[in-house]
Amino acid sequence: MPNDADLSPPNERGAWMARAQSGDGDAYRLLLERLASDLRSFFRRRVRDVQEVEDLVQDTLMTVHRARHTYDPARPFEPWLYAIARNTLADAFRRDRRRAERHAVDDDLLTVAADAPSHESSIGGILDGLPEGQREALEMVKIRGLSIEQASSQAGVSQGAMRVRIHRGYRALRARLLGGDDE
Amino acid sequence: MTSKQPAAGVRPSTDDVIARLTADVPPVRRIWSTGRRLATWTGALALILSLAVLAIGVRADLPVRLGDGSFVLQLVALLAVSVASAALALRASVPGEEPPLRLSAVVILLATAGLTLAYGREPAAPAHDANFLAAGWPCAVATALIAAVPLLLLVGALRRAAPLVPTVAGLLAGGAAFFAAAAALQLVCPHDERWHLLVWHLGPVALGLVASAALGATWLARWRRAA
Repeated sequence: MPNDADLSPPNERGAWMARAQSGDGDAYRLLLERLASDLRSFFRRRVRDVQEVEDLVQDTLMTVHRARHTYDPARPFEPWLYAIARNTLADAFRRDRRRAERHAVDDDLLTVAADAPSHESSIGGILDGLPEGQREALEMVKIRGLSIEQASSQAGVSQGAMRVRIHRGYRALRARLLGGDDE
Repeated sequence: MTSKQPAAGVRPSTDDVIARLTADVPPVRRIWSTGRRLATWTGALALILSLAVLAIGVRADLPVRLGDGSFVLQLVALLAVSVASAALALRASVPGEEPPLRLSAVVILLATAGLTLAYGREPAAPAHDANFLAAGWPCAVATALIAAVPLLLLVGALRRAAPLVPTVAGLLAGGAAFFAAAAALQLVCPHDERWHLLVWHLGPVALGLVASAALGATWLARWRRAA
């Protein structure tokens, strides 16, 4: 197993990656543990939410894993790593922007439904047709204005599960109001 | 910014992810250096272009045209842009070596604009030229066929690496293959008429660039999902 003594700076992580490329699992585990810490610091300076930081760290580690054959040990390791990290962050921002735009449309859908005159197309009527968990999630978060944390606590599910219910509820709602594909 | 929502709403911890990634670590074969990959692709390109030109047959007036400085300059510029695009594409497939996006865009745009200007300066045939379609479509088909193999070879090399911005990598690969094909076509096509060149020579190049970028956005992007 490698240790700090036999892998000297400045390209310590590069040397570990070279060992990992040769199939050294211990060196690889140590490397990824160090990288997780490095990446956490990197993303914390750019993203506030702790869970989002952890998601970004995991996404970057998985990309590092898939791209590890492209690292050249003769070169510094950091530019290679942080190119991947910056790209992961940029992808996440793009995804977030798309999601925010989509949710803005979904909020508009809820408003339109709420303003509808008949019960069939009213907000209650439309939500009644959704599966119980999705209806409850949309009611709590989008109508009663609870936070994800409060809603998940009331429903007795994790925050991740609550987000999934809201997302699926929106898809079903969009399919009902607009017709066609619910994706 | 959660990118992967697990079905049960429970995301594994980072320690779990590391444990999974390091559970089985087979040796990996490093990709060749960018210089070596570029040299290999350029060699293959030279061979493919030579075979294509020989198979189709060089234009009868080639010795005369090779005495024309602007014709030779066009050929050299097309081949230079092709190799430069390939170099940028290969660099774009290695994290940390990516060329600036602006540089990539400038190379492709300048090359396309330069070719448009060069072709646009050629004399125009009479507007009622009935031969326009019959003489033109074989050039478009030839461009696509000549570009196909170098494009697939280059995209294959990119896919084997890790292009972080796959659309740009695909666009550059298209530039490498289609500008080279346009150069080859200049050696075999006897039509130096403006609209023939713009429609049947430049048109397939422009379409090829768009198709290559789309190929990059779809197929090249899949390396992240590969286990």
